[in-house]
Amino acid sequence: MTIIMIIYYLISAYLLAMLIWNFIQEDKRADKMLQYILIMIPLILRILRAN
Amino acid sequence: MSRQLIYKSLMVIIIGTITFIGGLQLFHHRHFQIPMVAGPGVTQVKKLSDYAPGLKGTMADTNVFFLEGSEPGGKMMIIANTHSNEPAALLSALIFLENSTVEKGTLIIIPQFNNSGGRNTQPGDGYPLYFEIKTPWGYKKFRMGNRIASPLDQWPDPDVYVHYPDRQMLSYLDIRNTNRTWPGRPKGALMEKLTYAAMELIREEDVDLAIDIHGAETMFPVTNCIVAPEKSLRIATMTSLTLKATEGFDNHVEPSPEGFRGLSHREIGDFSDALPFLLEAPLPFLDQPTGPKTVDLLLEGKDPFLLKLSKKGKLFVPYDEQGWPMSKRVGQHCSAVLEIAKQFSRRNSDQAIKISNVPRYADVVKNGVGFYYKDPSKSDKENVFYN
Amino acid sequence: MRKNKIKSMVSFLFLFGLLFMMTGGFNHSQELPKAQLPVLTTSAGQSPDVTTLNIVCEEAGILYDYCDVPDVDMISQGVGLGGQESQSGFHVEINTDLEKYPEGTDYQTIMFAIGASLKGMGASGLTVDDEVNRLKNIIEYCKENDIFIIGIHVGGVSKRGAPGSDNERMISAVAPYADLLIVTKDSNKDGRFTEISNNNEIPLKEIEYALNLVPLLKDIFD
Repeated sequence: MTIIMIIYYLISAYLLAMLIWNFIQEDKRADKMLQYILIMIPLILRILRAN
Repeated sequence: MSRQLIYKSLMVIIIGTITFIGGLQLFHHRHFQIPMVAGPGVTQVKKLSDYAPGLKGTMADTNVFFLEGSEPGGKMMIIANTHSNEPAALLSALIFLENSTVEKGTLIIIPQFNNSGGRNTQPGDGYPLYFEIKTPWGYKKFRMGNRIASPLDQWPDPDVYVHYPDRQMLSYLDIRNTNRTWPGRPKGALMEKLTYAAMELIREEDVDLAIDIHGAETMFPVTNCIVAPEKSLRIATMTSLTLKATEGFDNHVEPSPEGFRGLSHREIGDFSDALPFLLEAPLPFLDQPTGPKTVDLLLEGKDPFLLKLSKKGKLFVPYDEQGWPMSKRVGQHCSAVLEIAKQFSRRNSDQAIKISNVPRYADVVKNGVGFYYKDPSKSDKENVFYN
Repeated sequence: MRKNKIKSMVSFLFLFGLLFMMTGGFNHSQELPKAQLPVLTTSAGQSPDVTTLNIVCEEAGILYDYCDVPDVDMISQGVGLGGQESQSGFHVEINTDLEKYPEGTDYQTIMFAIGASLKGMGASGLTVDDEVNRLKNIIEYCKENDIFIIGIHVGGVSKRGAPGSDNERMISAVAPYADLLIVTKDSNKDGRFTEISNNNEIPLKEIEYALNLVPLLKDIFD
């Protein structure tokens, strides 16, 4: 695993954490909730290294 | 439990379920195995990682079949599925693998060169995940792959792909394109390791002829042709002229440009003693202005929009109501490979390569591609290989 | 009586027709002149067909000199083209048997592979007009110095086009001035080469496939 790949995994984890936080905080707009979940999908799959 | 929490949980469950169902299809596609029956000519089966250990245990590793003749002679290598969305290459390589016997020299076959690309798809273009070829014993199922390797195996992509060793700047996606990463390097990106392993194989085994099989759009000028660098030009030209005169199909010669790096027909020749050739057969499925990307379009090559464009003279190949069926494309590849070996052998009698039991263009067109495939369920288990 | 007359007329017409066909009629296709060495191969339009011509020459055992963009000055220096060397956009090959034809021996024959390629002309830094002018000068020089010109078109339909197109301009620049025209059947589908041959009394040899050039050139340079 190269150093660039490790950095990309860390960026993914950071973005995912931000999205989860925003999803939890969001209490009114359903469209925004949906958006957060959809954006989370590739990040979750990448971090879990699902293949 | 608040109403909001129930609402959010439901949302996660529904989207999670949809993702799971969609993902499961892709998971099955990625892990679907295509059985290949090693024919009577196969004497050894190796892994490409035997030539470059960096590939071991990765999705890029792939089978390499050796068909050694009883008499020593030259060595010819067939590389198929460099682009896994050009399946005539794999289908042609399988005909050689399952049928040919080698009398003189050695034939080396890599049927699924970009194994990772063969397990990837293009959902945005509506690619089918599989296609089937009719055989005398039923249907043989194949994965339909993608042009480039899967990001699951090589990630992340750079902003700009800087080719090694020429430092030419190419599209970021081309770092996963195994026809842009030649000659590769042992510690580069995975696809660079893959092409490096193939280069090591070519150098270690003293391969004389390296043939990379492809397919190309009918609207692209480099189609229905043999691409060859200066050192291969003579054999390519004689092959093209002979095929036209004896088998009646066009297969013009395109010179390999010196300034465009990373391509097999350029780098294999520059970094080894082998003579490289790249075969292109028309593949209407890849053209942009077609109808839906269906299995029928892939196999038959019939499309009403291309027909209209053909009438306006916008295509680079003849095109009529018959389309460009798979049997025609595979037949062309079989004949071109055999003719390249023949032309090479004419001039190098001590390094001759003699292959028999492989059908030529007219045979494949008449009998269909599937006619030449063996039933893996009725074959000896030890002769059935999966990639 | 009348029946016999008709019969003899039919026989006469049949025999005349047969004789007409055997002699080639008004078509000059059967009169195959011989060409002499040394020979220079070159391109009219910079298409890759000149590579085909060179390879066919090698197969036929004809030792040739080759230059993709020679000018009159180079050609006038004879075999060896005055020691010119290949560089970017300019290619030279000297394969002539120098023992038989030492450097500087006048060329007896020039073979033009006709076919336009904008890519090829661009690589040599030429426009279509430059190429036509270059060909015009070479042909003038050939005519003045009795150099035998063979015009060859084996590119088929892909190296033909609408009147005035690049390919047709290359044909116009060379074919009417050639001493022998060799074309594949698909290159002459519209009969343009037949027309040029008839109008200018140039022998025309139509071949089925480009591969047929091998025995034909052997014969011509025999």
